[in-house]
Amino acid sequence: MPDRPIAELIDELLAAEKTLGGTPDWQPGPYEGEERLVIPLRVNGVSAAAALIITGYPYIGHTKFRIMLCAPKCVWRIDYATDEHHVNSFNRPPDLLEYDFCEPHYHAWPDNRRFCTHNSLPERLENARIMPHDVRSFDTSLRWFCGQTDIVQPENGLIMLPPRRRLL
Amino acid sequence: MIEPDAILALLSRTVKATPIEDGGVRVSTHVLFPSNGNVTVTVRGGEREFCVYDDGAAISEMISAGLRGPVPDRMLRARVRNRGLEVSKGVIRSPTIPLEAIPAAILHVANASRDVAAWAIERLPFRVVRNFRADLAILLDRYFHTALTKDIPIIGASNKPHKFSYVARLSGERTIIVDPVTNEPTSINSRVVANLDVRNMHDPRITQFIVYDDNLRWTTSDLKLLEIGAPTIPFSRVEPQVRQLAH
Repeated sequence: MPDRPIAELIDELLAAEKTLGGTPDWQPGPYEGEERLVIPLRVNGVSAAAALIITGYPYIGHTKFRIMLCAPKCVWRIDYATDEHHVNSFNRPPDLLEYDFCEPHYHAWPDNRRFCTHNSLPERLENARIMPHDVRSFDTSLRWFCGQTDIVQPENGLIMLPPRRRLL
Repeated sequence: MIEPDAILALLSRTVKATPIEDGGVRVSTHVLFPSNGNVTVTVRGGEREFCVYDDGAAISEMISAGLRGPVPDRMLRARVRNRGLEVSKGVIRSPTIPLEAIPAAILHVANASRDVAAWAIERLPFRVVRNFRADLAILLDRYFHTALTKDIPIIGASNKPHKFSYVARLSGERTIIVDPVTNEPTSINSRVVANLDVRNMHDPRITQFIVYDDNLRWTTSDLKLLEIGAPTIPFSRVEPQVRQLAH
């Protein structure tokens, strides 16, 4: 039986109800000034080779974070930043109207699924949309993200950004 | 502390938009090719619809880096497809776009042009075009200076004089014969005979070697045949040998 396209496997993963495993513990990220939370995802209680990854920037003066679903490459992401210019590909769904913007935005799987090959996920999620205007905090963004990706909503207060700190 | 506006002003100096004869506007960008030249693109169009082109800048960059031969459009297309760009006759271009999409198109075309050039330079085979004989002459002149003579006849064991392209007469009556050869049968045969005849004198003061252009394709049998005349050295490896003999 030929291999199934990897895009179909991601479709299935996203459609399945996923739960978060473990107790969140923030760790230093790979780059200075970043802190990272990696939460394994489970489907029917079994680890799903996928993770919810959240990156915080506690030394930056304004709200900035990323929320990703990685399996193992990133397939869905929120880039909550007001200082990052994003330019969309011209290879995109017809209803994606924005060409470029400098606002919090999200890279949805349906907008980037087209960049898969049969066996490989996209290196980059080229297309993004501006975050809905009523989703403008970490908590609302996380809950919105979980809703979009069918992750069971975390308990109140379970996941919070690391407190803001100042570089001495 | 520098003000953000001051940085913006400095950056804007490096971006220029210049009208060109065909009605388009050439725009220099902040994107750099591997050679560190900035990528310049051209915006063409009417009043409502536009296209942004790299005008073959990626191909020019590859050629400047030494790439020879055509790069098929399909190879370039595969590198720009995810950006939604098109390639025709080596030119990368955006789809037809409205006015407000021009900044995005400039960024995509410039970055695609840079990415394609960088990819090609890293991955595609390059053939360095060189004038083998002229390059060898320059190299020998650098090490032997006035000791180097050209087209000098040397008498072989048969008592027949053979002309050699480069002969260096060094101290202690040492003679260095450097004989360049190209991969043509007449060249190979004549150089083998000349070197063999000189070699058969068994003069310990004479050092011979045949230099072949390893930029060309050589059969093993031709290389083996050359060795009958004298030790062979590929041009790409000749400098250490010359350096050693010159001192």
